[in-house]
Amino acid sequence: MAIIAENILDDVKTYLADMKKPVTVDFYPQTESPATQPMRELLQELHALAPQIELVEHQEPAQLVPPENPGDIEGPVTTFSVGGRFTGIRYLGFPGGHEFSTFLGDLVDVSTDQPLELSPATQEWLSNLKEPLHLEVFVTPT
Amino acid sequence: MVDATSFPSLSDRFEVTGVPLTVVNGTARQVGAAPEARLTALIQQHFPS
Repeated sequence: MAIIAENILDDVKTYLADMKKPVTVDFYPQTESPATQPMRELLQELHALAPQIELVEHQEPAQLVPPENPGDIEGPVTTFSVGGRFTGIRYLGFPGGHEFSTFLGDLVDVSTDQPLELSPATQEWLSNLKEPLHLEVFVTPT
Repeated sequence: MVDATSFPSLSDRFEVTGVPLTVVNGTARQVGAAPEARLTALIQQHFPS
């Protein structure tokens, strides 16, 4: 059975048609996680809908971000890169429910160089940061 | 973005009891949706000038 419901398939395809630049989606499965196979199938279905999505499945584990340790990676990790450069966006787990639209939105945004919505002051402050900024947003798929 | 259900160890470490929960560099926390000003203030507290 497909992961993307048939009744939204055309809408997803139309939405992804806005993609411009290819996005490399690096997929790091975690074999023991029940989220891995659905995530793999979801990414394969998205690739079939949008040729700009280049799917690469890795055998090695995903790179950790401090303070993560290897035991923390209990599910699949997916990252987005454009033009060979990591965008900084990672998705840990499976984007079910409302998170699916966020996932799709991120794909289109990084593919089209969407203008930032942050205020100029915030952008300037961020551009002057000397240390890495790591934001984690925890969600529960609904 | 972290699917809390699939990453219970990370969720326990950051004591995820409500979502969305935003964690800044593993420490500062914001529960719930927040306007830009609040989130920016939280981040700036983590990076004192």
